[in-house]
Amino acid sequence: MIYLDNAATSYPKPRTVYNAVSKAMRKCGGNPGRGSHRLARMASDAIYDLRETASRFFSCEVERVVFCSNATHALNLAIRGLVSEPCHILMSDMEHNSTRRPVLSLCRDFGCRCDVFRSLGGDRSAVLGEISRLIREDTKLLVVNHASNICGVTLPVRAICRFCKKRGIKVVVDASQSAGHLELEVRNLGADAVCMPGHKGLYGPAGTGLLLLGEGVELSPLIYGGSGMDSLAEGMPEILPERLEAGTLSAPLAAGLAEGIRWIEKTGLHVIRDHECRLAHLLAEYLSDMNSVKLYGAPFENTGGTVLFNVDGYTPAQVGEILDDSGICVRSGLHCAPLAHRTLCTGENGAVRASFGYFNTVVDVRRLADEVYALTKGRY
Amino acid sequence: MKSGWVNPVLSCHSGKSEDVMSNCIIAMRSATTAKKAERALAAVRIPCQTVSIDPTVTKRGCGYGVSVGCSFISDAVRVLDRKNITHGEVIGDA
Repeated sequence: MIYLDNAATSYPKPRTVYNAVSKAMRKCGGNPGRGSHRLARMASDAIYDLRETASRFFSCEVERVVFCSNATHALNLAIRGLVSEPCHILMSDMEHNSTRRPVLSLCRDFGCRCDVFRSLGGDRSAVLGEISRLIREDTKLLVVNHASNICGVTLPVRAICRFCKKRGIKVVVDASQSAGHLELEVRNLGADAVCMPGHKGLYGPAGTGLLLLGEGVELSPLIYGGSGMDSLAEGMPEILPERLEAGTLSAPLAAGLAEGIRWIEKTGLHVIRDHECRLAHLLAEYLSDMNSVKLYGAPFENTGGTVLFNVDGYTPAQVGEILDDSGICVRSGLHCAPLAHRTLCTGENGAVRASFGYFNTVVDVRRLADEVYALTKGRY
Repeated sequence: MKSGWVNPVLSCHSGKSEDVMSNCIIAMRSATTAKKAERALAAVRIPCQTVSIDPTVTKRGCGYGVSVGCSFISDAVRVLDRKNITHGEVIGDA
């Protein structure tokens, strides 16, 4: 089996991640942040260890590392937590539904207005020009995808954050495809919130995500419930991260995610990224030689390790099914990002995405290229 | 920074009965801050442990603190202050 759907969930995970989850499930049986018996303390240690590891890796205050169940959870906390009255919101044309839908919910619930700015291949001055053109006096929030989940194009988030900060506009960065791939330092970035899953580029288990908050940023809670502290108060505690973490957190999953991040630190972010990009570029080379294959985005420039394509005469779903029959796992369709697909003009059925991880090899690329070639020659 | 908690009553649930009366507790605002304090103190080899504090003490419901040997308490408070780790009152006699 060849797994090429790492942009959805990385697989396999490093051995240390499996071991950490298993060990925590067997040893940390208590409830983190609830009580102080030894098992509760061990579970609390696992959660704190994740905060400390993420704080070091992403250069963020340890209390501002909020443990979430996925990127969508983190994005909802950030987007819905920053806006509670009518205002104008900007988002890029490469957004995933995990940002688009929360933004649209603000339009429905509070009467906010939203405009979409063009990403224009990630060109810094062109993107800033676009934002300048659309900005209004009541623009309060900008939501931006750091790296696209369908074609890997990267947006100039640092420049966008600097631009918005000067104008008092809050910025939420969706780092779902960049965390673990690109350098990301919350302190230097200047974003108000950076959101990411744990199960993609960070090589953690599914069911994990992180919300990293910038200095001084305050959010209203989205979920209310037990926090293990201030239990006599009617509302959630004022203090972070507990304010945003109602309910029991998973110590085993936190242990796995912390181990995933440590594995990246040990292996080297650049080593991982270079390997994934090399494979993506190689596949793009193979596919670009096939007349009936259409490539989208700028596959030779992107740094995301993804290749998006269609094959003439087949729908993306058919290609995905045929490849699956050959033991190759790719993702077809709209990838929960209809806005981004519209931007790239892939058509109403979307496209096929192959996305590489550190454990893929050149052999995997050749196998996929061979299968697609066979498809173009009508051998199926 | 002090939290303003008053009328301290020692209530240490460290799981080690011999510790109960010999330890003081530095009240913390949250479990996360307590862990942060615990790691900061452990880094300078001050033995400590995160413990829960009774609601009657915090007046706000369940709370957390760091249990430290009373003989280390002034050093411990100094370390936390130096590292800007927000803490509350010392509970128990130093």
